[in-house]
This record gives sequence, structure tokens and C-alpha cells, in this order.
Amino acid sequence: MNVKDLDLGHLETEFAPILTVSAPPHVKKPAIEYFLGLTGTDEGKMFIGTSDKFIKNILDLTEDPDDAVVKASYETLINLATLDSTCQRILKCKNCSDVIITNFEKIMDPKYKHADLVCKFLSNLTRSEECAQKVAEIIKDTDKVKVVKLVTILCTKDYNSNADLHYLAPILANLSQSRHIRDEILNRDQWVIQRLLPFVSYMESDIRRLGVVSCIKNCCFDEEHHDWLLSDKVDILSYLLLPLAGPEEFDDDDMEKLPDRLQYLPPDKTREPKAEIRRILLQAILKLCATRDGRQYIKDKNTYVIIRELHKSEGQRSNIPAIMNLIDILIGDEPEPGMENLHQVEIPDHLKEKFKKEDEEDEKEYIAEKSS
Amino acid sequence: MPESKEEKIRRLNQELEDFIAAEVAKSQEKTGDEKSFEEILQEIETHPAFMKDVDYTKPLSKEMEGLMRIKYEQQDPTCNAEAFKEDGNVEFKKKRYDIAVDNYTAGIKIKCPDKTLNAVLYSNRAAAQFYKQNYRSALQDAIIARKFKPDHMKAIVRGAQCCMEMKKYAEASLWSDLGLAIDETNTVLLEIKQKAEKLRSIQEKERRKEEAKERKELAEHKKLITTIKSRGIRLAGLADKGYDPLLFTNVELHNPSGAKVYVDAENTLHWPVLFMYPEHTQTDYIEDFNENHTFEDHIFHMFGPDVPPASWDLDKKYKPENLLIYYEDKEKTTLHQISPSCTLLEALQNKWFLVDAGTPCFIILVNNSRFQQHFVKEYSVIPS
Repeated sequence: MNVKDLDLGHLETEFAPILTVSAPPHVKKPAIEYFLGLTGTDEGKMFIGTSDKFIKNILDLTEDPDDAVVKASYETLINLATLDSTCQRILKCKNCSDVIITNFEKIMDPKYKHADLVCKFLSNLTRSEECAQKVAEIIKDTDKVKVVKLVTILCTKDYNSNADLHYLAPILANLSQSRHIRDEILNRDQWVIQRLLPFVSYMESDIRRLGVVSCIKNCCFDEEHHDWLLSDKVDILSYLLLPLAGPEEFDDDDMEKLPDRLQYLPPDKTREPKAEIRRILLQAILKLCATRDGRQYIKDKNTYVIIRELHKSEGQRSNIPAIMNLIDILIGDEPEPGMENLHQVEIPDHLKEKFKKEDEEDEKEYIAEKSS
Repeated sequence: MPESKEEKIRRLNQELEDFIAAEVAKSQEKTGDEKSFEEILQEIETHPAFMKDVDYTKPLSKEMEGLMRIKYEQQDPTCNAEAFKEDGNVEFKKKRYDIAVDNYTAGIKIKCPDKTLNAVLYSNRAAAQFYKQNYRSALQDAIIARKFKPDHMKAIVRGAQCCMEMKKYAEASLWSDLGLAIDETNTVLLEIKQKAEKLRSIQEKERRKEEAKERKELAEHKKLITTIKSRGIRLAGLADKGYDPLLFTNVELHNPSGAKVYVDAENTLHWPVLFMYPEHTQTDYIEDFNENHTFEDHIFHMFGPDVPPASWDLDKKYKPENLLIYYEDKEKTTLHQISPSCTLLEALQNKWFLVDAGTPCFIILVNNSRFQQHFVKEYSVIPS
């Protein structure tokens, strides 16, 4: 049957009673599987995603006693949550706080079978900043979900023997767009961001690594934390630079200036293979260059030689601007007094326009390269 | 619903168990009258504190028998152990750690069934041992204390501190993780964790630095041996065994200056070279003889008209034009004469030349001297 021929009102009356936990198994299972099939296409996704009724029913079915129904329900939700409008609709439903909390509890349950599906659903759901903020608010208002706990779970290998939980990383990355979540991650009285940092080199999963790196980049957003992040207590620069460093040897002078973790790397040292992750790492370091003290520290630690060698070996052309931006700051003169905080410098509108255009072109090129 | 903390603790426990297993393996290597750490750990399993039921069908263990007896004699082992603990604590406060250790040990030996009390006894003895700087014993007690009470924070902190003192930073980090999983904001452990990570990064850097140095030396040695080999120069010891770049000893030598053959940036070899003057039982040692320089170059430099004669050259007969240069083939007892105009490389490439102990040797004689005529009689001489 073609989606275009379906009438939403008719479908709701026909299907809504079947898509409930109380419906008999031989009916609800084929029904949810039919919906899963429908949401596999763009039209189907848009069609189902406009129905509050169906969304509620499918969310209810994630609590079904039948595993196959739960699985199909989550897979349907994962499909639906690729559309921002549907995500907003989900987050407007009456009991959405409970839904979000229950789902996070499922992630925190070390035995829950479908934890990976839950993670994928929530990572899709929180993709846009608006939705991430909404979910962050829900987390803020409950005692049942602790950001520190989520970080600890993410940093615990084999936390759940039934699930990899790799997609918890993009959830955290999305949520870290919210100030409140960042404050939790940057809690100085606990071991939180320090726990995350080693995972920037976690080669077993690209998803987890990308998520952690994005999350850490977001945490570099708040300048009042820069001193602490760069201090011995966190040593963030080492972790951001390590994946960008190759096996190159430097003379002793250059070597001794590098952070300890970067010195005398073995000849089989490899760089971060994902261009996107390299770019985010560069952006994170660039953010830390915003203040005068941060910039000075990053220069003193001989970051330049690492980035110089990265530049020589960078195969992704669209990463070059990010490298050049950083190199400009690392070898450039200090800005005049009053202009020292790079984030606070007033940029004239015509230049803003020009930069924006350049960035857009870089972005286009990047996407083109990525898809090719 | 979330059991995450318990799960995490379980995992960390496993990691620590592995670490302990490694420690046990180490302690097994030692033999002696004292019980090994493994034996102590095994005994813990049969400790009355871990007993759920008494199996009367089997003979009772000594401890159980004792417990039963005491039970009926109206004496409580827990009270006794508690008393030893109190005594130990008093001594501990007076910083008399030896006596404190003895008290806690006495308490431990009672093997009372109270798990917490045993954990405290071991943990306190660990503290006393720690202050006596017996970090190994202290660590073992901390491990055993946690057997009785896995979340005994003092034991965990002590374990972490011991590892720090023993410079086992990775393990210290592990202990800290264990404690922080129970109490996320424990400031002592946060501080240890931080320090451990910092010191660990330095420790690992030093290790990498050492490895880098070794790699560099290995590469230099390989290059040197390859260069020597490519010249067709024979090194003593290499001839039979064939080409082995790891036979560094072939270019090693024992001389006071420590000079050694090396290859420079232009791929030129520089050898330490020995000139021998058997008539006077004298030698000259040239530390750096460029393979492209000739014998004349050096001889002129040493015996030329502008140079005062050597102290042993009483007859002033060592003049460049008078000198004959030979090398000796020890196996065949032959002397091979070398033209002064030939370079060191040409001499070394001579088919019969064998570099011994990394230092080419040459015999210098004065032409037509009585000594020369006498000396060469011992050999068959092959002219250049």
C-alpha cells in the first residue's frame, strides 16, 4: 500500500486500539512491525510523525512484556526521531518527562537488553539544540538521572553485557550543548571530565570516540573553566593533542617542551583516522586559545610542532582551514590590549559576512568530500 | 532499578583481584619459612567470619573447634579481638607502631567471626605498617581488609597510598577508582588519583624516552655494521657467523679513551687505529682516523720535519721516508706491507685484513734497521 493513499484519521481509529500493551500479542506484534516498515521511508516517517496518538502508543509499547514488540517499537522511534519536527512533538507529549527519565533509567540498568536501542533513540531525539535543551531541563529537575553517572557508565567498559552503549556518547555530546550539563561534567570536586578524556583515543568505536570528542569540545566553550582544564588537574591539552600527533621525532629541545604525554611517541604512533574527529579536536584547542593565559600555555607547550606535522600529513583538504586558524594563533603576535579575548573581539559586519561565506564554502567542500 | 554502582564496584573488584593475583604470583617466587601471601589469602576463605554453616559431618577446623569451645566456656572471641584492637589503637596514637602491629596481629590471630572487626584490624595494621614504611606489608593488609569488607574506605585509601609510595601509579589509580565508585567526592582519593595520573604520565614518558634512545642506538649500530660490511671490511668474529647486525661487540673495544668506530653524516667511517713500534715496545693511538686519509697524512703529522722526535726515538731515525708499514695476519703469520700513500680504507679492504677488537693495528718499522731485518724473519712478508 502506498503511504499517499493512507488517511491518518482512519488509520488512527483502526490501529490505535491495536498498538497498546493490552492488545493481544498476535495482533500488536504485526501491527508495530508494520509501523516499523512504514517509518523506514521518508513519507512514512513524516506521516506517522504527525500523529500524537501514534507517538504515545509506540512509546507505551516500549514497556511491552514481549521483547520483539519492544525492539520494533524502539526501532520505529529511532526512525521517527530522525525528523526534528517529530522530536519536538515527542518532547511536547504530556508525560514526556517520565518517558525521558524511564529511558535514561533503562540505559543505567546494567542488565537491560535493549539499552543500545534506547541510546540510539535518545541520541537522535537530542540532536537539535532545542530538543537537547529540553531533555537537559528534564534531567536537571529529577534526582533519578545523574550526569556524572552517565559519564561513569560511558567510561566503564562492559557496563552492560547485553549492550555496547556506544550511542551514549552522542547523547552526552548533544546534551553538553546545555550549560547545566556542562557544569555537571566540569564539576571540580569529582572525577568527571578527567574520566572522559582518555576516551578521545578509544579506537574500538568511532561513535563513542566522536561523541566524547564532541562533548569535550562543548566543554571548552566556557572560558571560566579554561585555566582549570589546562592545569595539571585535568591536563586537557595532552588529550586533545595526542590523537593529532604522529610518529615524528623532534629534536630534544622541541621534545622537552611538549606535554609529558606527547613526548617520545613510538614509531608506530598513528593519527586519529577520522577527519571529522581531527577537525573537532582542532576546534576544541582553538577554543582554549581564546584567553591570553590559555593561548600562552598552549604556545609554551609547543603545540605548534604537532600541528605543523599534522598540516604536512593532513589528507582532508577541508581540514586545512581549521589547521591554519590554529597555526595563525600559535605563531602570530599577541593581539593589542583590549583585543586579548578573542571571543569578545568585535568583528565588523562586512568581515563577519565574509567569514561566514568562507566557512560555508569550507563546510560544503567538507560535506562533498565526506560523501564522495 | 539501577545497580550501576554495584556493577562498577564488582568490575573494579575484579581488576583489583587480577592485580592481587599478580602480586601473589610474585610472592610465590620467594621461598621461606613465612607463609606466602597466597597461603594467607587461601586461609581467609576458611576464616570463621566467612562460615555460613557448620558441617558437623566433617571434622571441625582447629579454629572452629576453638570457637565452639570458647562458645561453651562463655568467652567471646570478638570481645578479645576488640580488646586487642583497642590496645593497638592506644599504641598507634603514641606512634609506637611496632607494638601496635603486634596488638593488631594478636587480634587477627583470634579469627573472630565479626567481618567488620577483622577488616578494621587488618586496615589498622596496614596503617601501622604504612607509618613504619613497610609499604608492601601494608598493601597486603589493605587487600585482606577488603576481603572482609569490600567497601572499607580506610583500607582502600591505604591501598592507594601504598601504591603511590611504591611508585605503582597505575595501581594507585585503580585503587582510587575503586574508592571513588563508592564515594565520588572523597577528597583524599581525588588528590591521589590526580597525582597518580600525573606521575604515571611522567613515568611513561621516561620509559618511552628510554625506548627512543635504545631505538636510536640500535639504528646507529645497524647503519655502522651495514656500512662496514658494504666496504668489504672483515671484522673478527663476523667472518664465520656471517652478517649479523646485532653483533655489536665486533666493533666494541676496550681502550682508555673509549673511542669507537663511527660513521659520519657523509657516510664516511672513522676508526680508532693503533700504530705499534715493536723495536721500542711503544704504540701510538689515533682516535679518529678518517678512512679516506692516507697513512702518509698521519705519519707526516707525527714524524714530519716540524715535529720534535718522540722521547723514545733516541737515534732520531723515525722519519717519514724511512718508515715501513705492515699489518699482520696472525693465522698465517704473514706480514703484509702497505704503501704509505694508500688510504686507511684501501688498507682495510685488503683481502687478508681482519679488524680485531674494533681497532685496526699496524706495525711500523724503520727501513733497513737491524731490528727490521731481524723482525721480518719471523714472518713471510708480502710486499704491497
